[in-house]
Amino acid sequence: MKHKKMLIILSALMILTLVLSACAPSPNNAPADGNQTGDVVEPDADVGEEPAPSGEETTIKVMSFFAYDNPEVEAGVVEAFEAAYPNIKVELEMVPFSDIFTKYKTLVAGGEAPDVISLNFENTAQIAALGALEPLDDYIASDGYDMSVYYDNTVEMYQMDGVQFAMPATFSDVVLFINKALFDEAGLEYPTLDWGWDDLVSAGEALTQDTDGDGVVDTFGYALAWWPMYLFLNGADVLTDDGSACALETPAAIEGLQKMVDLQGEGGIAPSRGDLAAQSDWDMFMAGKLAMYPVGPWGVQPFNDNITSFEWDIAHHPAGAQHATFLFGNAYAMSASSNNKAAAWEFLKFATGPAGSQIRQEGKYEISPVKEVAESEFLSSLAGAPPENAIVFMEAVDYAKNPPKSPYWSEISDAVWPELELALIGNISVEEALANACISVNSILEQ
Amino acid sequence: MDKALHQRLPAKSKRKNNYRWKESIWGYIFILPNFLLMLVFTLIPVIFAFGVSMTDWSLLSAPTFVGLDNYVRIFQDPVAKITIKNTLVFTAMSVPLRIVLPLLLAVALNQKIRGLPFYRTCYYLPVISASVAVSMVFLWILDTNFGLLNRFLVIFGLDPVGWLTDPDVALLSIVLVTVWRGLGFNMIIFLAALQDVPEDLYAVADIDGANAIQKFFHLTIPLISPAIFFLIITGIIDSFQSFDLVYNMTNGGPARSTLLLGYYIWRQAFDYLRMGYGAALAYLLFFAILLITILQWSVRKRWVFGEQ
Amino acid sequence: MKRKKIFRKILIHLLLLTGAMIMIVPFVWSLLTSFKPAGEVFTRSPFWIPWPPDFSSYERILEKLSFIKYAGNTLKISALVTLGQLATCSLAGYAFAKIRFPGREKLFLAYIATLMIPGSVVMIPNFIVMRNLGWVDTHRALIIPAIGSAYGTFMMRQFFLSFPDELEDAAKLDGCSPPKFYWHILLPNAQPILATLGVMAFQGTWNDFQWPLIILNSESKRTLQIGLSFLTSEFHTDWTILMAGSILTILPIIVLFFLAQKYFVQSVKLTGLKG
Repeated sequence: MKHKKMLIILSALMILTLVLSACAPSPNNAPADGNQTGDVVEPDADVGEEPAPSGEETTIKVMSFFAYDNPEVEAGVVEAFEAAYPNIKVELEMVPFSDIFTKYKTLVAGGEAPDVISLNFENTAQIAALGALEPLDDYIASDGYDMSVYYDNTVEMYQMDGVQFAMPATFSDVVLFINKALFDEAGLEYPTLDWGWDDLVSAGEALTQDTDGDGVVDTFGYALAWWPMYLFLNGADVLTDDGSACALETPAAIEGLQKMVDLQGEGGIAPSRGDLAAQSDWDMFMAGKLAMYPVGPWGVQPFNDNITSFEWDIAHHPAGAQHATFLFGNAYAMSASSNNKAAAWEFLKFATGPAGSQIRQEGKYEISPVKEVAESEFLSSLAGAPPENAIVFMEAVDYAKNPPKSPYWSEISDAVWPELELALIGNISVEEALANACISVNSILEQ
Repeated sequence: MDKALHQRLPAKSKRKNNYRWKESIWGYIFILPNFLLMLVFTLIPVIFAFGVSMTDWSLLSAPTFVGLDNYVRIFQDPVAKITIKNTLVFTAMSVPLRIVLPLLLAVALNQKIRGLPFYRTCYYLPVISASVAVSMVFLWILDTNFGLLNRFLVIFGLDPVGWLTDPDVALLSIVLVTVWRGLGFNMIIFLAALQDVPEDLYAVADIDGANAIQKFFHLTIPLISPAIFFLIITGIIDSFQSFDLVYNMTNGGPARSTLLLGYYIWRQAFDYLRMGYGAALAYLLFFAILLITILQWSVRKRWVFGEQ
Repeated sequence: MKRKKIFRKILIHLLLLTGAMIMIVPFVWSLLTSFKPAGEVFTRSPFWIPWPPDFSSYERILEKLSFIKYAGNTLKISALVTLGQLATCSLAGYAFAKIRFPGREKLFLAYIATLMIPGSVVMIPNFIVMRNLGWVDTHRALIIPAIGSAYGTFMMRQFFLSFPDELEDAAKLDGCSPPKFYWHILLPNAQPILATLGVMAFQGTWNDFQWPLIILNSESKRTLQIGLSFLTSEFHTDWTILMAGSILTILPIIVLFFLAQKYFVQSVKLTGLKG
């Protein structure tokens, strides 16, 4: 029967392949610890074919998400590092941002943590608090490494209780991207550093239009930034200064978030949650349907690549009671479980210092925290294309603020945001939302 | 049917005992490869996870034993209560739909109509699409202002609905997408089950004067009951673990209305780094489903064909 | 009588067609979007047909990714898992359904029990097992565990339950041992369910993302889904790339499904009652 023959062949094939794959030597049979001679080298990191000079050779594993959709950038950093340090081989693994922390945590739990890990600001506090990162102060001191090459706030971002846990690799801040064509059509001046809340609202109202008369707003004047912005703008914060209690029920906090809620919804200048469900504010800006959009330097490249129908630029975000905006950043840190700490430290210095940072900046990934690189390469890389006003990115650093540095930040924001959502929809008042939020936040902090 | 044949078989003989012993050996041999793999790669990790549920483990540092604290915590956690409630509602809505609709479809497709491969492929397409793509597409379809569904409603003079932005409706949207997605999958299973029903039985029923409805309820359903049993159990398990759609579409929102257990467990384990608590939630889930399954299992001999 | 039949057929076709349209609308939108220029996804009506079609998303995918390599990896893994499941799950499913042996019920309940624990909780224990076996960053970590599929065995068992006992009894009378029965009688009659399991196993493995992402490190071992995730951006949704990627990954499955169609129909009809 035809069946019989086919099945026999298939089963034989299967058994054969299983046996072969089970018997084939695994390159990972060697335990992860101990110095390894560079056996498995990443194809990406392969450089020139010079044999390693005599001497102790180490391999370190680096896991990174920096510019993962442009893998040549970080691979270039690694290449330059290996050229400068011939005795150290780097196994670079790129992982997409959305998945890297799950993977890192799994690897640490499974005892296979990489020597060096890229972190974003939001995750550093939690991971450091749980003891997975190696404190770096001793390495900095014994090397006499000059931390002043970086902007001060970018260094401070990665200190928990005064201990340095990571080296800043990039930073970004949120500014106001504007659609110049829409401003011109409405006969409005572009925003300046002097703009306050009233200027924002009145411009927003003039720019929010229902262009085809179908009762649905087509063009919005403004889009909401991440909610802590409206606390910062009003001089408030999520937690008290010492991070021990919820600070959302202060008058300043309530007022700031009330202003946020008032900006959207019926008659508002910003799209509501409903408006944003499928067409994000990003897509709206690209389609020319949004006049003022708070976003960071990561918008520059995609907007330059895809926006052809209108001119755009950047400006300072209007002030509330004060000027404020977000300071975000990414860093490299060392796993506490690493067995190659000396080599990992060399990598941290190189990859985040002027040498590595220059390469990363040339790859246009965010902004370098190294002063000389930011002020030269970053600005010059933007020359000749929008935004004309690129200097605003640097100027905004002066009033930019981190989101709270709590190890429980993820849980805290998950406790606050659903309440704010209800307030944005209009189901409950802002006071009620914040009261509910504080109950949850305080119980989280009490653990 | 069975009875008649059994009455005709020769009386049990000594030879039969030998055969029974031999038969058992074959049984063990047949299950061996599959069971061994299942044991090492599924069962052992599952048991390990039970141990984890009794620890406080942040993943980034060593676990510490805390006994039943995590289980107690579940009862004190207001968000866990919301999550469990959402999950029960979700299950109650989605599982029946995921049985009835595919069954009707399969019966319809089992008639000798033309274009069968075309229809089968169309209905199976959603199943093979990656979760991310499905989520993205439905984010657009269910958009309040520009979404296809609301545009459709407006044509018929109805008001647009905030499918993903109205906390009262959002869970229903997840149910709809889940049912839509799983339709083809279950349909294929029912189609295969229907193939096993001998055609002569229908012929006999026709001779006896049975109409379509009688044939369906008294012939078709009992004969495919093993498949129905399978889909009920796996449907319940699946909906208690539902993760992908929430992760890609709503992140539990708006205002926690779509926060489902599968998603909440992942959040606790990987975001808040409370792996022990996540495991405890999972095991609570496990005991609940086990209870339901044992109940179903014990009554299965009454209604599932072949289990007698 | 004949008119009633025709009317019924038309009704069925209408319902089926409406349903089919609902099923494929998202797929059609994905397809159209994959051919649109990135900036224009939302500038016009969703169903506008981009003409001439913009292939840049596809080009970018094929250019930036070692597409053939990743597809080859994924094909190998999926094929091996499918064959493995077809073989071992059908054997075990048959045993659990038709062969009597002590402990059968309890062992089977163990299978069902393992289905109830969500993947996120067993991911770490699984990883630790892999690490202890030295299987981190290997394909066998993706293949071997997947073969012992509790789901597949459960499904096989349910289907074999509805096999008429008469066939088996008759076979026993003829002195047919279980393996012979399995090979000569059961399998040939089980084409639809085998085809169903085959397609499901293949597609499940083909689309799997989370576990391969955790277990694999080397770029050369990547699967297609992992490769595609590198095209998404950290900061926003790149619709055209996402859709182009999903179309590329669906195509092989659709082809497989189409080819498997003829197996879904029972070639040898069970006759049941005749003595």
